[in-house]
Amino acid sequence: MNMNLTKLLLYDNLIICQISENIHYSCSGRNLSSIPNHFSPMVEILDLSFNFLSFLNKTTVPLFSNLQVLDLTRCHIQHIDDDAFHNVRNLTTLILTGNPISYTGPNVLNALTKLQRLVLVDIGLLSLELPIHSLMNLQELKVGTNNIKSMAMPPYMISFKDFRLLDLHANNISLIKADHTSVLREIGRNMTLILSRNPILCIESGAFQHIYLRELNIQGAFVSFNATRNGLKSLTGLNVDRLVIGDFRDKNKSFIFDVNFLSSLSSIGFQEIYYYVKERPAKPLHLFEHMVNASKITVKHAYIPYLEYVPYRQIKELFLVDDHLFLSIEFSHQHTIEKLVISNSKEPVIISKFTDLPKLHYVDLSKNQITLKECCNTIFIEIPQLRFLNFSLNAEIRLALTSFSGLNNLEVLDFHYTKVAGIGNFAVLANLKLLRYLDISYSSITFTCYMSFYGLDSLRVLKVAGNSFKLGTSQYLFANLTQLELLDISNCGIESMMYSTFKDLHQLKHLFLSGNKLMTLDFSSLKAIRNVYVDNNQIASIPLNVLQNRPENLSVFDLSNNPIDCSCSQTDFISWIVNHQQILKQPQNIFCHSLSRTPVTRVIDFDLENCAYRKKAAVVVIVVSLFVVLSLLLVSVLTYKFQFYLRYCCILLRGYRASRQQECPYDAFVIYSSKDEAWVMDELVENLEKGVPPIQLCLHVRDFEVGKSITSNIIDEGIMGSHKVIVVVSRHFIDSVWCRFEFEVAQSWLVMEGTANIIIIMLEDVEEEKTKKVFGLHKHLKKNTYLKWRGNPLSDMRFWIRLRRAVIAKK
Amino acid sequence: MEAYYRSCDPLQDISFTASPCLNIRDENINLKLSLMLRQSIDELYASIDFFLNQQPNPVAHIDESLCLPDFPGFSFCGRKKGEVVTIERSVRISKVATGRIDIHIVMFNQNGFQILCTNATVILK
Repeated sequence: MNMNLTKLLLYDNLIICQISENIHYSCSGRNLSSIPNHFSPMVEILDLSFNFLSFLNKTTVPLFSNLQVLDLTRCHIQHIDDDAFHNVRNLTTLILTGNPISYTGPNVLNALTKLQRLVLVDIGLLSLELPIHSLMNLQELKVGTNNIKSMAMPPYMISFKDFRLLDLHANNISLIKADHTSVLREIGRNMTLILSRNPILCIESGAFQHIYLRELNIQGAFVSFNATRNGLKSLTGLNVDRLVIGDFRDKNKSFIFDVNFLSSLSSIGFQEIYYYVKERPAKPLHLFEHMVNASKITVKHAYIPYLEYVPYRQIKELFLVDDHLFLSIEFSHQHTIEKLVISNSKEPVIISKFTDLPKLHYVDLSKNQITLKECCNTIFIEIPQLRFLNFSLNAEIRLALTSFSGLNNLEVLDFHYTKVAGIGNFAVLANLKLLRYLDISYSSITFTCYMSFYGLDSLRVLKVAGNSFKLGTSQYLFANLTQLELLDISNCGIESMMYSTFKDLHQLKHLFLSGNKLMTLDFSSLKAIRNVYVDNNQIASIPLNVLQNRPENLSVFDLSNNPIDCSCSQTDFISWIVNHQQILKQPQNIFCHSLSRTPVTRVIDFDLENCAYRKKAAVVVIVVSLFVVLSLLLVSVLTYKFQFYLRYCCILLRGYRASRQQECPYDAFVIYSSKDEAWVMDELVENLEKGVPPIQLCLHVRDFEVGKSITSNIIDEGIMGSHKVIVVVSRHFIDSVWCRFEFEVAQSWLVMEGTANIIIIMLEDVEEEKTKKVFGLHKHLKKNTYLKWRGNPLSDMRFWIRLRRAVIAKK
Repeated sequence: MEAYYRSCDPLQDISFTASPCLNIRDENINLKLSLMLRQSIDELYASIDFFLNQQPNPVAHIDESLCLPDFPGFSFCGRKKGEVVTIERSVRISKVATGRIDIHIVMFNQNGFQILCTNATVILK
């Protein structure tokens, strides 16, 4: 049932019916105690089987004017009133199987004049005297599994012009008298009569004389072998298209002594005979000589030690299935036979030959445990029309180069599961230009010859699953098969496939590569392909460009049971799988490969968002690390550039800590350029150190401790070891790096100590622009007073007095 | 000897009888399995697993086409919806056999509809 067309009919939120195509309502097994009346008036088929209706009349069966099929199987119906079907007058099929009907109105079916099929199986009928006289259109009456004792049909049924089936299976008919068949004789021709599983003891002779039937089924219809033998005799004069005789598989064998009991078949005219043999005679039955006029013979489960020559007149089809033991088959000189099936033999079959069968085109010899040392031109002789040959599921068949000579018309050849020697080694099939279908699956073939399929120009279907290829053979094996549409090379242990193997197969639509050891897949030479099966291989991933350039008609792609790599590097492949489930054959069976014994994950359940999150996290980590590296680089560059100042800061901090512990041995530290040393030594030192009171100056050339770093000396001896700092500003001072450093340190010291300890001497005029070069000097000069050296005796005097006073001022 | 069976189909119940009593060994016992059909069985396919002494893997597995179209062999083939099917088989249980056998049977018709599903257990003491 097409689920797309299925709707549900609900009542009080309970599903009561499934509706398909708006006309078919299926309300089977819903515990309904009445027929729901809210159906579409269009309903044509209504299945109410397995409910609890118990009582039918005009009020309980609503009006359905289009209803054609009403199925009331096992509805516990006990009572059916005369007017029960007045609202469903257009019924063509009424099924009342398995209802315990105790009352039916005498005219109950009168309204159903259009009824064609009436099914009254297992309702406890005692006879065929049914109220059906008005059912002029009745075609089929099925009254099996009742307690009917006579097959005599009511005389009015003669007027049922289209009547064609009376099914009386499993009733209680033990006697068929000559007058029981009088109506049958009148209706005749197109009718099928089923009497199987009745306990027939006796058929009056002549009962079936001059009766014409389409089919008579008396399978399992006799209580004993004697009844069977006599019954068959009593069918003399019957003419029937299909005759079904014998017994059932689930009945006991009957051991008999009369091997000629089938001779009466000769006096029955039949076209087709179906015989399920349960008789086990003491000597072989002469089965077929009583069937010489048949066109189709099917014999199952017979014991046939050898197939004798029978002069069939018009045999077209012969089926010998599930039979026991053919010592040797020789089947020859039958000019009408077209189809021969000898299959599923219980014992190994030995074939000698099939000769002179000019119309035979279909031979099925499957499942017979056949072993052939040579085949097939030595076995099939003068069978020019042979097109279909099935040797599958046998033991072993050896083929040679001439095996198929004279069998040039073969179109279908099936050897699957039969061990075949020869095909893989020589171009055995080269003359089969018309062969369309070749199945040699699981035939224990190792292909060593790349000419194996040479000459098969018409081949459409090739199945070679379950065989093996010698290294490199597969590459050229299929090269000339330009018409090939289906190729099955599953389970061949192939580890790698040259996809150029398929480059000449322009018609190839179905490719089966399941169960090999392939690790890659390539569609490049498979332009027309529709179905590709690579399940159960070793494919971990397929590049996205291969998938994106897949053949445009690809509609089935089976990738299941491969060890798919579900790492975040494969998100493209995984999301392709998730998004293309409509073309994937079993998407729920595509699993992630896992080494551990953790429960397997389906690829379609793989958490792609987790990968996206991880990707984001990875980006963040990269950005942060990049930032850190850049910052470090920047810090290094800055450190290198400003190393001087950093060192200076260190020193400052160190100096500050040390200052509290030591006393000052000097009165003033003189900051000057070495180029002004002459002035310092001659003038400054002379006037201050040698004056009264003497002022102890700290001069770097004289007082700095040898071996100590300059910077340490500047701090320890100079700035911290002196009460005051005398700065001798000149052009040389401004140009000197050390002077500038000393001045800046002194200035910082000033800020920390908070006292005005810097005395500035301008030795010469310096341009304002230049003073700005020294950090803080320009500002200091603007804000504070300074001494200026003029070089004439009068002002010098004043200069030295002021200087001396300034140096001593702290005291 | 003890035998238990239970239908594993929510809709389909089955009945099972053995005569004479199951305790008789080395004689034919007639087993009868009956069920009412929910759908016709023009074709019927059975799959049977046998488990020995509660081992997880079946010791035997049988797949069989009981009914095929075109002249079927079994008498129940071709029965229609609502008909009762009885499958009879006689078995002989050896005196020396002991152990527990679990049997799982499923059957499907031509539409793939599950006709029968049953789990049976036979304990031979």
